[in-house]
Amino acid sequence: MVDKSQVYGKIKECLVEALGVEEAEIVPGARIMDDLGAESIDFLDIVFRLEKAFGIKIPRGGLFPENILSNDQFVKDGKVTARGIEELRKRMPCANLASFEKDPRVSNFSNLFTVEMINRYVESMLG
Amino acid sequence: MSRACSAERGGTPGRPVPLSVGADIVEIGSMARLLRHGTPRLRRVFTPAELSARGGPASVRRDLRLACAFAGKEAVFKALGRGWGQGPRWREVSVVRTPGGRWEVRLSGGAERRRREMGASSIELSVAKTRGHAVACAILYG
Repeated sequence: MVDKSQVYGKIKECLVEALGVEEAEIVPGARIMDDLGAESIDFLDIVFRLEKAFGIKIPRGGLFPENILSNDQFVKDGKVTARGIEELRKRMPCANLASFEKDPRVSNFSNLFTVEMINRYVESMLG
Repeated sequence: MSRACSAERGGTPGRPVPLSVGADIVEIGSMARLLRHGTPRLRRVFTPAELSARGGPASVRRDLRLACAFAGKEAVFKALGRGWGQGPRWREVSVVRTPGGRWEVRLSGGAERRRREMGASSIELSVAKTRGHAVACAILYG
């Protein structure tokens, strides 16, 4: 049985160390890029830290999916299409797509990466 | 990559025409943190050439050198119109400094397909660094 508070504590630790932010900033709804200031290199650091902390292997595109925004079937006129949303639902089952669906602009995509989403993903990996 | 005549694009015959540009900046400290994860994990990001390249004087620290390579990769991704998570994989863009000091870009897989789609015949990459940051600018020419 996964100890959820222990998992969340470890995730907080990983994010604090990777991003150099205060622990108080790590709240479930915090967006990894816009609120915590992560850059692409930080995403790699986060993935590697999570792997070490939990003894898991995060497959490429597992936590941060690839090739969605570059696919014309999934993006039209700067917005993720209904088909793209369906694809996101499959590839990002741990993300909360509700608000993104209302305003699916590509520029809002990074808002899907939140502390809560990472927490759910790690919990799902740990079974 | 060789350069092609681009008169059909409105350029001067024999002179390459810039198609797109991409730039990136990387904190050396971020790279230093990434290096602590060890070579097996770094192999998921860097090509063997990037990991083994000396990239200039031996005194150039590994974090500085790989920060330059990382900034170079990201700049190329952006010039290809594909930012982070939008297409090419990390190792499909290899960026290595030649003994002469130029930065050589090698593309494979999705990155190479994207270059062809864009009609680019060459890529120029410029990289600079301070103690704190590495910056890179890539220009695709048609």
